[in-house]
Amino acid sequence: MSKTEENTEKKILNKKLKDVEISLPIVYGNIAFWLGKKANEYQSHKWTVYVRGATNEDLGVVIKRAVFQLHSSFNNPTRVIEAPPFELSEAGWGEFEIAITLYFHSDVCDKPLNLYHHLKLYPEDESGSLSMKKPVVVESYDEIVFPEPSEGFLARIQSHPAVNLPRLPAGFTLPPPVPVEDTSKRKRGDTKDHPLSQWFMNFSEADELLQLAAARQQVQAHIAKLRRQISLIDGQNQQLKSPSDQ
Amino acid sequence: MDAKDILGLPKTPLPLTQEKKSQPKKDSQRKPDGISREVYALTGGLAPLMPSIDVSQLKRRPPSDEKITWQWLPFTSSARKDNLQLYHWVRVVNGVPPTGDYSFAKYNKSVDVVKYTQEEYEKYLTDPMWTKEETDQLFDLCERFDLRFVVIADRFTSSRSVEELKDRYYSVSRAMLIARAPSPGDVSGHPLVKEPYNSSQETERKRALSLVLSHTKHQERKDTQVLAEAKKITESRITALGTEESALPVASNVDPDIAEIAVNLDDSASPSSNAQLASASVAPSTSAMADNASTLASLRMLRVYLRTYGLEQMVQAASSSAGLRTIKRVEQTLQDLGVSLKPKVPTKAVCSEHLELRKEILTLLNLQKQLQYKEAEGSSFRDGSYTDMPGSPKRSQRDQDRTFIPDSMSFGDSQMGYSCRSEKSLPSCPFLAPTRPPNSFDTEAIAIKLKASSKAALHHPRGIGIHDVCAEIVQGSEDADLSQRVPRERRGKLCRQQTGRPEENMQGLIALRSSPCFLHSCPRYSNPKHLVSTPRCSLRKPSTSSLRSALPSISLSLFGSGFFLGPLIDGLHSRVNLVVYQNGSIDIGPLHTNIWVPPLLGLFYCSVGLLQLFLDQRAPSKVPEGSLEKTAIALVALLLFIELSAEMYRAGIADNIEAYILFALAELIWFSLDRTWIGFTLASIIGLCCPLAEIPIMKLFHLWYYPQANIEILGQGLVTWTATCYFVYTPFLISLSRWLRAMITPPNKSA
Repeated sequence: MSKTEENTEKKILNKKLKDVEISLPIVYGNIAFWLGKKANEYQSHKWTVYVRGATNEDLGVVIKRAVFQLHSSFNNPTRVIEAPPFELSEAGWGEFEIAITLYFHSDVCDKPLNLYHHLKLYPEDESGSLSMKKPVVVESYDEIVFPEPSEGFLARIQSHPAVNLPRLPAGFTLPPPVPVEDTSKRKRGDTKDHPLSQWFMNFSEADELLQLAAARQQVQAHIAKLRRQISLIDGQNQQLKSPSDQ
Repeated sequence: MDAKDILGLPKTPLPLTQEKKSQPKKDSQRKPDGISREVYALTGGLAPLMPSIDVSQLKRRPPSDEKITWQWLPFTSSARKDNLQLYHWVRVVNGVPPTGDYSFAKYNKSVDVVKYTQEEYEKYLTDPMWTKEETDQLFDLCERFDLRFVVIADRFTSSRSVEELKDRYYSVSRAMLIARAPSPGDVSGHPLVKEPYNSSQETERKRALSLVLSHTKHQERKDTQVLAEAKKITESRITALGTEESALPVASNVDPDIAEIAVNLDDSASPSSNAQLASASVAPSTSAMADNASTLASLRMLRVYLRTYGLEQMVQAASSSAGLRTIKRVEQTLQDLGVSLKPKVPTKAVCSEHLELRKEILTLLNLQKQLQYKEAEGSSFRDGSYTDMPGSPKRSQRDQDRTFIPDSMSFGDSQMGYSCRSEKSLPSCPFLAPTRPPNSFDTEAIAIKLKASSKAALHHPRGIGIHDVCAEIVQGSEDADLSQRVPRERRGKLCRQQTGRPEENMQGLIALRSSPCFLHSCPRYSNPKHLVSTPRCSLRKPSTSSLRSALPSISLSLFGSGFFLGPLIDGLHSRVNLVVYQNGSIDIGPLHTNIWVPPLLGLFYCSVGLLQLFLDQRAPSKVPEGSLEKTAIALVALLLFIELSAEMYRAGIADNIEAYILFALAELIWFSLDRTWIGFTLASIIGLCCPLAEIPIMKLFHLWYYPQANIEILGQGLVTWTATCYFVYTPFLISLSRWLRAMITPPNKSA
């Protein structure tokens, strides 16, 4: 009957895949503009805290909503953002830690994930003068890892650009992707044309990889040298031992 | 009061007033009148906040105008419905008995049991299980026994359980309440309406309670066992790879309560919140199995996690076997390599690379430790009599690949005669009388050599370090035709002062034993004279302990030189009447000086010299060794400088011109002699402070004065360019102190 069919489908979709790991690269942080002349004692900066995809793709396929917990001096310090782009703009004067809780869609994960970001309004070097044009930008790169995603989730996002999928094991067939609703009807959730996108930082893993590779090479060379020396000394110690044992 | 005195608490003085009104306020500070002082002090000297006894009432006597009698009188109580006449003692005041109800009547409370009429019964309260008679009886009993259902159940004619009776009673009351209420909303807040009696739940609950009460010891033990097993199983479920099906053995005779608890455990095992549980579960698991696999497994248990968090866990797992120091060293190494401790762009590849790098660094550090250990082993084989290894240089990572540099055969014999001649106690210089040509690795020869050299080491001026002995033995393994020359060369090497070479480290010595080149034993504390290149090893400086032991002799020699040399140099200035001595001035032949000058100058020499040595100890980079030539050159420069300044003064050259010339000359002298910034700083400080220090001496003791002073400070006239003389004094004192240290410390050092 149709109900059992539905049930089996649900079961299949809910089945967790052990060998596949889905990672979602995100960038979260804040951009703060000094209000300059319009600044007053309680509102010296206008800032936006956000969570965006690392490549500015739409995170709405994975994240259902984001809850930003602000300092208790704000009205309604718990701000819930139900739709991408997951960002929040406010005006204030102080720096504090913002707890961002990400809730995922039900087929992704039923547990929320917490991020912590320290809101930064003032630039690092205190001597620099505040400028209204150039904002203070602090972003952190991180990746959300789903170690055992459900098939349904996998099917849904298998060709979505926001998500990094590893190679699927051989012989693996996914159920056909659910047809996505007409994108024009939905509001755009990506941040590609975001007004603040000019300030977004670029994160390239190539530099880090290069650095790490160079460091590893150095260390490996040292290790090889040490090993040679140790074997040399071992040999000598052996020789030393044998005459004295006579 | 006494207690407060003893405790040292501040007394709170309050003015005594005569008013009775202020009395209660002051009760807390003063001893209350009603109780004795000692008793009050027992309370700690502080009265309780609320005095339990109204002290003023204690000694109150009834007003004398009242006449009190006690009478046996009858009384009535509103609580009694019958007219029973009872009697009791009554306190009668002035013949008037007290009025009012019996004082205990108010405690006669009773329950409002609901009363229903026949029609109401028929309308609302009929129940198939209960007849009207039974219900009536129940309610009658309820009223009689104030809802004590246990008694009522006992008295009830037909045997019904307490729950049934309760159920009937509460349902009837509820129905009546709802029926009589004007609107249902009015009584919806009433507890009878909101929470109706649930007899099945009650029966169950009581059954469970009785079961728990009747648990035997055996039963209890079994239950705790089951619980412990359940806990273990949940933990292993978290760490195991995979299944979520429950494997909890639920014992068949386990109580439903226990089963409920077990089920709850099961639920809580599945991660409730990522960070919390993961850290809690990862912590025990990493302690149990310090394995990457287990961390991976635990990470997989989380439904979702951040990669930085995952990396942290893996790093912790990898370094769980290492101590805190090792971890710090790893981090230091990472920083040295220019890698940030937490990657800025933590992608999967970057994180795995980072982890691998950390592991490799750990391996590297372990290998370094291993190498050190093996070297120690090796050298302990070589010198059986030496129990410790003095001065084995500390290694940094960069030194691993240093090879030694072959020695040059040209040794200067300048010091050789000196050292060997001075040692009369050297019984038989082991190097002059080789017992047998050290061709091969002969254990006997080595033993003899070791014995001899150990004796010699105690007396040798330079001290024979391990390096020397090892080098010697290494020499012994050289080719036979070279062996005859070995002792002499050895001796030369030991005795001489080296030309500048970068030092060896132990490892180099041992490692190339078989090479035909002579080894260069140049441990740092054999005092090479001129070091051209700075060493890359961070070797130990001349030991602090030997310096400390030499300190008195160094300071004494500094003082002595200041005492004798100082006035002579100063005489150059007094000769031209730059400075004229007043109190205590004496003239020793042509020398016009003061009796206080020698000790003052001795003190000056001593303090500057010791200061310089102290700075040398602390200096991070290498310190040039003291040498006689340098000291002599500095002394000559100083003398020339002072003579020049004196002549210029006598010739009457204007003060400012003289000052410019002398300033320039002083810089030149510093540049040619010293060239270190620290030397410059020290000289500048001396040049500034010492003239200022002269001021109190001049002012208070009138030991001397400057006839042609050109500036006045604090009321005393000074000559400005005396600062330059002090400035130029400093390099001389620096080299003098270093030379003295070099001269004095070696005899105190033992190998």
